[in-house]
Amino acid sequence: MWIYERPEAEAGRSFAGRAVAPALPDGESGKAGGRGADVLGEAERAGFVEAGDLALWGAGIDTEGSVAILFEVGRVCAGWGMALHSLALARRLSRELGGGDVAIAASPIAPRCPPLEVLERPDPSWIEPRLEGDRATGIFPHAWGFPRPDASGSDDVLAFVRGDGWALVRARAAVTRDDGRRLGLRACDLFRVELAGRAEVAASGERARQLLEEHVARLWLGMAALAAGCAAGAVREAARYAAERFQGGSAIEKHAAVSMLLGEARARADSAVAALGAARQTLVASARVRLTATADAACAVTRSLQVLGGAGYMEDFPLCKRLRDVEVLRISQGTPDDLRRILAADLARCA
Amino acid sequence: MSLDPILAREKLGAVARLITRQPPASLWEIDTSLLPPALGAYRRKVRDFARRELLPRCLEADADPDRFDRIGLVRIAARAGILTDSLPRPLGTGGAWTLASSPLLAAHLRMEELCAACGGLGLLLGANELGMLPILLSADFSAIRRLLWPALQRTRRGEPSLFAFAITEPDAGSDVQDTRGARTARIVTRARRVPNGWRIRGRKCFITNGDIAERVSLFAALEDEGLESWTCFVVERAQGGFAVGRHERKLGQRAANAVELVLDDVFVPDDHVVGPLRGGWALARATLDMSRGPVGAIALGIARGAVEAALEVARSMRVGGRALVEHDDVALAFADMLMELGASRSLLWQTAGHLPPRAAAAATAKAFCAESAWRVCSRAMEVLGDAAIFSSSRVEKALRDARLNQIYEGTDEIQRLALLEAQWTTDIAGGTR
Repeated sequence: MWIYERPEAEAGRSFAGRAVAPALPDGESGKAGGRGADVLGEAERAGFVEAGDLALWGAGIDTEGSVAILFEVGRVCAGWGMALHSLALARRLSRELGGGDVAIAASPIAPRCPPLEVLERPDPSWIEPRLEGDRATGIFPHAWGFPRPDASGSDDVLAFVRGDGWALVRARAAVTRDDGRRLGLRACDLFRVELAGRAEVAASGERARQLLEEHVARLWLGMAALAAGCAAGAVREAARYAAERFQGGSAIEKHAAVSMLLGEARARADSAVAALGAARQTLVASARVRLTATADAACAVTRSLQVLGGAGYMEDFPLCKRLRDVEVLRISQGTPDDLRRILAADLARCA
Repeated sequence: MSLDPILAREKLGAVARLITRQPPASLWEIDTSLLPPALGAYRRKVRDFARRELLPRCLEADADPDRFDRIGLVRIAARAGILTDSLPRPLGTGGAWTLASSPLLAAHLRMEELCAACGGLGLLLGANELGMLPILLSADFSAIRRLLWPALQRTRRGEPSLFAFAITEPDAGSDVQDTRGARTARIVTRARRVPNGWRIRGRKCFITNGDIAERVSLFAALEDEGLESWTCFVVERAQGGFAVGRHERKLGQRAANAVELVLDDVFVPDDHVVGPLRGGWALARATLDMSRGPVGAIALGIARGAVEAALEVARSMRVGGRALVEHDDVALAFADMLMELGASRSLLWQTAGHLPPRAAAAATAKAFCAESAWRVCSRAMEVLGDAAIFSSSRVEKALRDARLNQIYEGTDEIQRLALLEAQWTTDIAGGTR
């Protein structure tokens, strides 16, 4: 079964049409216009909220269902999808630890994700945020989060830090939103999170390591789903344009060059969707899914943009935004080389 | 015992040392040493200008192109001779030896160096030459004296008088750059005969610098005729009926505006017709053959800028207890990027050897460099991860800038058609069949 044939996909489509499409950010400024409350309200009406909280990633909606929903949201706007995904991840982690109103979960995998052995056993040269006694200190320079009204302030966060092994702490952190002048996912906020005070240890040791692995796996699966959705949307837009645009007495879809572009774009987009079928909440499986799905999705989007020619390069057409978004989904929170390194390390163990 | 390959050569005899020597030098210096001295000096001059005047302005111009003082920068470039150095004195400011060595290679060097600092600002300055090209290629000395000479003299004095180039129309983009497409292209911009001149009506779109150029080299079909009647007219911005329409919001190369030109019965006097009537198609194709190499050089420059910016960050960013650049996978990625740059530059410098330019060589270089630039910028993004996505890194800007090179001056697909059109009927290796 393709991921978009799952019953949750229908709910995702309906939600994206009602909540996300009206809240699309302006291509130039990237401003989503403070529509966060509306989007969350619609998420509740769509049944994505259970016991007052987002129910993705096993908190009511299973892995495949979550992937299907994010895929459909990604078809409309990957930025809003990332916002919803980030919030859902934080809530999922928070529920696992007994609840609490936490909107940001920070993990030390950006700007580059450490190797597999460091994800299993934190190394001070890779992992700067640390726990000493009841104090947590350190900076997470890039943490995605649901749009918030204020650019900076303090907030309760969940953060994976280095203690004796891994530790997951709940702490009050200084949170600063970036200025939005970035490539893509502009509907989503990106924060710098700084820990510098008392922290409550929510989990430690093997339990914390396991939570980190699951958290990162969910993050990557969601990003893969958003990228695949982004690609599927791009191919549809390119195909529509090619059918409606005439040159030389026929629709450009009939021209060999355009036909090749569309065929390649479709194959890559379908391949990205197919990769999602192997979604599992483990580090290695999610690395594999994300590596292939985002690469295929990025290829599908750039081929689709090429179909539109000069129009594709203008922000008034949706392909520009898709190109910007899919590139961020490809490299943020673990680059393709980081994922390759993890897959190779796992392979070496299995050999 | 040192295994350093340079130091190890000390053990060789004097002659062997001499013929295998590799004194330390940057890749830029090594490439520059291959150039004739005048071109090497020119490359250095443009690089220094770009680093001094473009690089500090690139992020500001990209973030808010409407407020950026483009005219101010154009004036600085004019005073530095950058806008006129493709032409020899007394017409322009180009050095005789530079242009005698290879005018096309000089153009490639100029665009690479400008765009290594900023693709958008490089385009802003380079598009002027594209606008002048149809007039120069017409070899109509009377038109050159009337239309180019006064503008060039003003520009040389630091009061720039810019040209733009206009062929694309709302319903005729790629197909007016390809012979097969041109046969059925739906063009709307037409010229009607009136006493002492022509009246032009129609629209052109995506015209770089169309809002600041004083003159536009514009191609229009004659009334009731097809594209075979295309004629090149120099349209004065000050003429009644000429208006700038929509300003496009581009993904990249934003410092150079792309605008729509609306022509509502604009009068063009007879002495503003460039080349013969119905000679426009040939002039347009010749212009594109001449400009596609430099557009490839724009792509190369943007890619080089991305690598330079990524290297700067990778040297300062510490990951896993070391500078990012010291990680083997990162070093391999940079090696990939440098190989791409080397391949593009080699192709461009080889292409510049054809004068007049060969359509197939120009199309090959343009498409290869554009696609290579996209690969390089994507790889640079991968190396830096999240640190690359902010505009301050300059890498994401390079990625956005690079994407346009696969589209303008003919898409990658049009370049392939141009390559086939030019060479398909000949044997690849020559000889008899």
